Amino acid sequence: MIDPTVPRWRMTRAAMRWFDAAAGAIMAALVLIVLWGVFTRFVLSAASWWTEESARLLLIWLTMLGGAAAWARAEHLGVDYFAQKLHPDAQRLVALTVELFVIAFAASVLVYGGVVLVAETLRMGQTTAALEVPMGLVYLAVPLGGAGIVLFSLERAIAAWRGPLDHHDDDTAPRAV
Amino acid sequence: MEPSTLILVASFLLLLVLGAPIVVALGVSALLALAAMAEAPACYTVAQRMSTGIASFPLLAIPFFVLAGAIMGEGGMARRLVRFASAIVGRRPGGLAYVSTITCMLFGAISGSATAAVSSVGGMLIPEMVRKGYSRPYSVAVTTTAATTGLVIPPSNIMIVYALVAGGVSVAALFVAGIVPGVIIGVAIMIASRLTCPPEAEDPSGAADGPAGSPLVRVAGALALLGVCLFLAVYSGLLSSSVAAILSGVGLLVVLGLAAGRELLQAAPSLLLVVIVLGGILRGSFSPTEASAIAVAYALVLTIGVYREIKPADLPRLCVRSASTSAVIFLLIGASQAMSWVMTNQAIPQAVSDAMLGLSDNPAVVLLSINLLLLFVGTFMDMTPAVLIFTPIFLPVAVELGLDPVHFGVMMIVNLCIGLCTPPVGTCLFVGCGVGQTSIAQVVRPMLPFFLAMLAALAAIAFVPELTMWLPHAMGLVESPG
Repeated sequence: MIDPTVPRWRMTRAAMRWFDAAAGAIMAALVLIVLWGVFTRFVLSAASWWTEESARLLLIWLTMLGGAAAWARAEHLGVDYFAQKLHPDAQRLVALTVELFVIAFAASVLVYGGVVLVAETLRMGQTTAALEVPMGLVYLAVPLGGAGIVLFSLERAIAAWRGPLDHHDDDTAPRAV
Repeated sequence: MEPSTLILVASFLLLLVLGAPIVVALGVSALLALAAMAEAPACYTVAQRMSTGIASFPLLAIPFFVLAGAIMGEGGMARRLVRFASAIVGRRPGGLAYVSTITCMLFGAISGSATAAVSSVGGMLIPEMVRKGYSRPYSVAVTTTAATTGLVIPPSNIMIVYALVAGGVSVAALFVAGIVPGVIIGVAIMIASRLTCPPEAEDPSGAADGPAGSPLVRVAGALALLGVCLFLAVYSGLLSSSVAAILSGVGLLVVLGLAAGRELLQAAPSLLLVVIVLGGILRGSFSPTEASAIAVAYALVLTIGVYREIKPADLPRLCVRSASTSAVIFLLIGASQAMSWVMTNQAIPQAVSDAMLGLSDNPAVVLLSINLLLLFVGTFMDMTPAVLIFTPIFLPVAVELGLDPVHFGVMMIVNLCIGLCTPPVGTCLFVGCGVGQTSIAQVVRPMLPFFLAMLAALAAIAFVPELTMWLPHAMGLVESPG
C-alpha cells in the first residue's frame, strides 16, 4: 500500500522541501513587511510607499509555492466520499483519472498559461505601480508552482497505476464503520 | 441552456464526484467553458484571473490569522482557557460540557480555526470528560459542535473570504455581526448538553478539582443585569453608546474577575488578542490586514516572551505550516474567482436567482430552500469552497429578498458550520473522532441533540435578522434599513 500524502521519489521530496522553505520564508517576510507598514504609519507618521504593493504581490508567490508544497502532501480539499465507496480497483482507476486531470490542468493553465502570462507582460514592459518591478517576474510564480504540481501529481499517477493506494494512513480521518 | 453553461456545470460536477481537488474542478470547468465560448486564449485568461484574484491586500489577513492562531495554539493557550472556563462554571452537574463549550468559543475566536479548536480543546478535555463518567462519543459530540462557533465569533477568516466574494461588504461589519449569533449557537449547545447530559457524569460527591460551588449562575445574572441597565441607560439617552461600550467592558471584567480572578489573569493575555484586533478594526485605526499582522506580533511576544512555551526554533515550522494552510485557501479563492468570472459572463447567477424567486412569492419559502440547499451542500463540501462557490449564486437572490449581505453572510456561515460536523464529510467531525479515539458511527447518535440545537440557532438567525444586524447597526457599521 502506498500513502499518497507522502512524496517518495528523491526529486519530489527535495522539491517539496524547497517549496516549503520558500513559502515559509515568504510568510515571515510578509509579516515583517506589513508590520513595517504599520510602524511607518503610526510611529514615523509617513506611511511607507512600497509595503502594500509588495505584500499583495508576494501573496501570489506564497500561494503558488505553498500551494505546490501542499499538493505534495495531498492537502487540497476535495470530495472523496463517492470515490471511497468504489471497489479498490475502480478507486485506482478514478485516482489515476483525477491525477491526469490535475496534470492536464496544471500543465495547460498554470505552466503554459503562466508562461504566456509572463511572456506577454514582459513583452509589453508592464511594471508594478510603486516598485516598478516587471509584472512578468511577479507572475513567474504561476508556472513555477504549476511545474511543481505537475511533478507531484505525476508521481501519484504512477503510484496509482502501479498498485492500490492507502488513503487512510492518517488518524484524523477514521473510516466510518 | 447554452452549451458552454452545460459544459461548465457538467464538468464541474463530474470532477467533484470523482474526488478531484476542488481547485482543479473549478479551474478545468472554467477552462472548458471558456474554450467552448471560443473566447480567445483560455489558458492564459484562467491563469491571469487566478493570479490577479489572489493579489489583494484585504486577503492578506487570512495567512496572518492562521499564523497567529498556530502560534497561540502551540503556546499553551488551550490550557489557560480551560482553567478560566472551569473557574467560571465551577463544580456542577454537566459542568465539563459547559467548560468544553465555553473554551471552544474562546479558543475558536482567538485561533479562528474550528479544527484547531477541536484538536486542542478536545485533546485536553475529552480524556477529562471520559474520566468523569461522560461517554466518549458524547464528549466528542459536544466539543465538535462547540468548536464551530469560533468561525462565527470574530475574528474569522471565513468572513474575510465571504467579504471578498460578496464584494463591497465590510469585514468590520461582518465581524461585529457574528458576535451575537456565535453566542447564540454556544448557548444552544450548552442547553442541549444540559438536557442530554448522562446522569452518571460528574457525580458531585466525587473529588473534583475545580473550586467548589458554581459561580455560573451569579456570573450570568450579573451580566444580564449589567446588560439591561446599560441598555436602558442608552435607550433613555442617559449615556452615549461609546460610554456604554466602555462601561460594559469594564463591567464584564469586574464580574468575571470576582468570579475567577486568578484564572482570568492567566487567560487575559490570550483574550486581549481578540480585543486588540477587534478594537483596532472597529476604531478604524487598522485595516483587518494590519490588525492580523499585529496579532502575529502580539502572539509571538506573548508565547515566546511571557508564557515561554514557544522557542524561536519552532518558528520556521509554524511559518511553513501556516503558509501551506493559507495557500490551500488562496488557490481555491483564485480558481473560484476564475470560475465566477465565467459564470457572470454567462449570467448564471441571474438565471439561478430568477429560478429561485420563481419558486414562490413567499420570501420565507425561498430563504428556507436556500438554507436546505446549503445544509445539503455542507454535508459533503468544506466551508471555504462552499462559500466561494455559492455566495455569487445565492447572494443576488438574498438581496432581492431584502436581506442585508452582512446578514446573509452570517447565516450562510452558521449554516455551513453544521455541515462541518455531519457525515459523510465533516472536517470537524473527522478531527473530533480522531482526537477522541472513537468512530463516526458512534458519535452520530449523541450528536443528534446538538444538531437540533444548531438548527434551532440557524432558524433564529435566518428569520430574525435583528439578532445579527442589531449590533453592527448600533455601532454604525451598516446603514440602518431605510
